[in-house]
Amino acid sequence: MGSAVIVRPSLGVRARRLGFAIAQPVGSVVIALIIGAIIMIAFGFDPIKGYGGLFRYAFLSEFNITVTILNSVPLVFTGLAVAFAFRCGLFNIGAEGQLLVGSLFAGWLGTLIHLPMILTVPILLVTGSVMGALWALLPGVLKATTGAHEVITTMMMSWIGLYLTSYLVKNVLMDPRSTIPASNRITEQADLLTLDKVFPFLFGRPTRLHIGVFIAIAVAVFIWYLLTRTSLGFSVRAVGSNPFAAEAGGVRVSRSIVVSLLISGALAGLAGTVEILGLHHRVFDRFSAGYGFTGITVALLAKNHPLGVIPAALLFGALTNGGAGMQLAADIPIDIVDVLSGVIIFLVAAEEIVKGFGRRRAKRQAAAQALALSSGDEGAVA
Amino acid sequence: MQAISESPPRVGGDAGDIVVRLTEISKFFPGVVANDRVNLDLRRGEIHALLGENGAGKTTVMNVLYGLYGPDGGVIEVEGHSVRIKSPNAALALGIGMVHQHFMLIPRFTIVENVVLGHEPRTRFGALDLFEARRKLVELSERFGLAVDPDRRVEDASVGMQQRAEILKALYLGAKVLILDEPTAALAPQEVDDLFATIRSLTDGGLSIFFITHKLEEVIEISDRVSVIRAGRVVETFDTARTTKEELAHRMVGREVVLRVEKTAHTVGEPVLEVENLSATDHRGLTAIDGISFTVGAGEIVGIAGVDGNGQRELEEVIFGLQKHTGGRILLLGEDVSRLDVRKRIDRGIGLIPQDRQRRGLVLDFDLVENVLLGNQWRALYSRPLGIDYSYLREQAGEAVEEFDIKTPSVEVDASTLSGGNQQKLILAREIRRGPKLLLAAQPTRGLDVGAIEFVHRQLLELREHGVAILLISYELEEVLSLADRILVLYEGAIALEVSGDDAVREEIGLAMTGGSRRNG
Ligand SMILES: Nc1ncnc2c1ncn2[C@@H]1O[C@H](COP(=O)(O)OP(=O)(O)OP(=O)(O)O)[C@@H](O)[C@H]1O
Ligand SMILES: [Mg+2]
Repeated sequence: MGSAVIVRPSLGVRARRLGFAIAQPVGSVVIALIIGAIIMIAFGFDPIKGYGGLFRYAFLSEFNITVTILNSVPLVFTGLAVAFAFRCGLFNIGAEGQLLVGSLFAGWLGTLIHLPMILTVPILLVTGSVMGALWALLPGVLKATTGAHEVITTMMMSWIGLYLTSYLVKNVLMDPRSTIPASNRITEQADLLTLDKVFPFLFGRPTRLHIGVFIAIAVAVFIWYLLTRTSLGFSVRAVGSNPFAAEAGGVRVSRSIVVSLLISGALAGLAGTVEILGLHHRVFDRFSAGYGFTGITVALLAKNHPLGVIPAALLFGALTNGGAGMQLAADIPIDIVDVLSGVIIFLVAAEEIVKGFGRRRAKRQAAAQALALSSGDEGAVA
Repeated sequence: MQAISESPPRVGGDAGDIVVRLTEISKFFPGVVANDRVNLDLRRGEIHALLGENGAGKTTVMNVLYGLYGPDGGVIEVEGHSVRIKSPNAALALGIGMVHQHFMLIPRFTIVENVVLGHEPRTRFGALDLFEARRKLVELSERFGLAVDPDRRVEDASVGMQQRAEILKALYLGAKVLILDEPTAALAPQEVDDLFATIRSLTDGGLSIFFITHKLEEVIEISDRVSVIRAGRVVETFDTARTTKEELAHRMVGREVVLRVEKTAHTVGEPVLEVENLSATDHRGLTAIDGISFTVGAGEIVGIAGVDGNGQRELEEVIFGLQKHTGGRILLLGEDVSRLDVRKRIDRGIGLIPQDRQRRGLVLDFDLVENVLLGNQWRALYSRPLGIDYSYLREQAGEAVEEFDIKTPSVEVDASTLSGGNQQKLILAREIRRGPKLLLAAQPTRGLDVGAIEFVHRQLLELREHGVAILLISYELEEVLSLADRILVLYEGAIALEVSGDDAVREEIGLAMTGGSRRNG
């Protein structure tokens, strides 16, 4: 029976799925750029000059590309943090606080210990992740036990983290000789190697690029593997897609929720720690340029795919960097960059609009199902 | 392809008065021809049954008519005019309403809220005007004998009431043509009778109905004409009065079908499941199971008969560990498992075919491979130190698809793309292939075609031969009667009757199901 039925893994299905997954975010970015151009024209700016400047300052020249990549590194981590929780159906909007807390304690410890580099770096990276995770623990436990919504609790913890770290930097850690709120220098044994030291044959001159770039890529690949190839990742995704079926499939739903938020927090903590060990070498008050929040956008654009987070982070890294260029080259206010990211978020979130340009897809059934499920407390994000 | 008979028009439908005509409708999905030049017409006032195997394309062609899918070919005419139906709203504007195989109501909303959803009546000041909606709903409900409580939340309503709400929603929006996709699959016999009475009053009122079902008796009982669909094509359209169940089954499957499997006598082994004084509450905290005790032995099928809402769902969930019990014990092979979590119970050898397949049974946006993994993800067979062994898993999924004849172009498509019956088969394949010691089978053949039912019944009997204990929870008395060694009738959370499968008297069971007798308690 069923003669026409093929049961071999078919490349066609996978390729189609991948193509579809990529087309949508790319399409959103393109449309956002077009809308940005229209806005520029409307306000009497020259979009060609504007985008030309943006591109030039984002990518052309070693200096510019270095800045773009350095901007992207923390975004890869925070993007992963948000994406991971998303895959479990959780909206961790408190990555910023987890990032600050994680890096503060890693940095603090870094000012105290004196160990060889081979130990110092791993110890501090672990400290940062553990503290970040700890900052997400309470929201996780509350969600799992009482159903308290993580959007509220992670945000509250985020503010607590922000003020706590700020207080500690100003009152406890502050280097008395410093004029700005910053800690003592972290031990040099904790500095992430710069790439000219690792690949002397590639870099003629010293560079600010550090091995954090590779850590970010490696962590993205690891998270991808964890999510798609392991039983833990499977459970997390099952809870995210259909917690009722997951439960009946022996998944310990509460545990998955807590674990996902812990991993998410750890990734956020890592974002700040790598930033500090790689670039600042001190803990500054509020050194994060909103990486935790931009991470939400990055994750959205990446459609919560851990590998998609890398190009998405690069895009936002380039936008912040190139935005300044646009201002210089064409006098276009840097705020246009915020408009662009706003439009991108809107388009990615409003999937239906981009897909088939208003042609209704027969996803109604799935949508009704999702709606029915999310009318519980599964933190679905529209 | 279509053999329209030359017989004179019957009571239900005038051959000259065609409301909807589908000509050469085709619909393709990646790797699947779901509809292949389908021709169908619907006469005014008729009940036109669609019959076909799982995955034959019944739901798809009706979704095309309802505007959910654009056809890849063919013409739709409504009242003689060729139309392009681009959305369900467009379909409703043309007077076409549909009640899906899987309901599309929002559980947290009340029935009246669900009915008006998307078409909310407003007061002059733009506020939601539920008063007017409720009035209209009650009027419709009385006119067509569709009893619902407008203010009840959907999650608290019985399946039958949810269905009536769906029908009312279509009527509320002015449907003249109603598509019912397997409306009886989830109903108790009494509810089916009520539904049929409703359907008749609707057609008397001038509505025309497409009625999808797998049950041949229902086709014979209710329809005026019946079209058999096979592999995406309409094989033949019959006047119901001129055909028989056997002929239909044969046309549908292409071979003879055994409508009732024979079970062999054999002895029952040691008790596998022992339920002692078990109590549980429903989600509102009211008593749902009231201190019941029974056992299921190795190689025994114990059937739980009863009308939906008498504790079946809670029984299923409590024994599997999805819900806490409030009293009593559950023993599996002598071990008290009533405090173990689901995973441990699976490990001890309990398998579950849940009654709510889309909610409990499947992750619809996972592919078939990962749905086969569900409930196995921690087992050494699949979970290697370096992660899940997907190539082995893919093999297993392929075998499951082969063995259970699941119609799909690939094991890597999302479970949501499977037809309803094939989703059910996927769950059955997963749970049976796991080799359980105790199988909780709730509505295991819901939505399956006659051929697949025969297959599943044989599978269950084979498990029984191999000493598996099976607790069969079914609203289908026929199924319980044909499979069970022992039958327990559940009424208001207690066992109202216990009879052996051999000397079961249909009337006696029927009576106990409605609270008529209490021989045993
Ligand atoms: N959205 C979809 N995407 C891909 N394939 C689909 C989709 N919907 C249906 N199909 C395929 O089309 C075929 C026909 O499905 P359909 O749902 O119409 O079957 P059916 O006759 O209603 O079966 P059942 O009795 O099991 O409900 C099936 O092989 C199914 O896999
Ligand atoms: Mg169907």
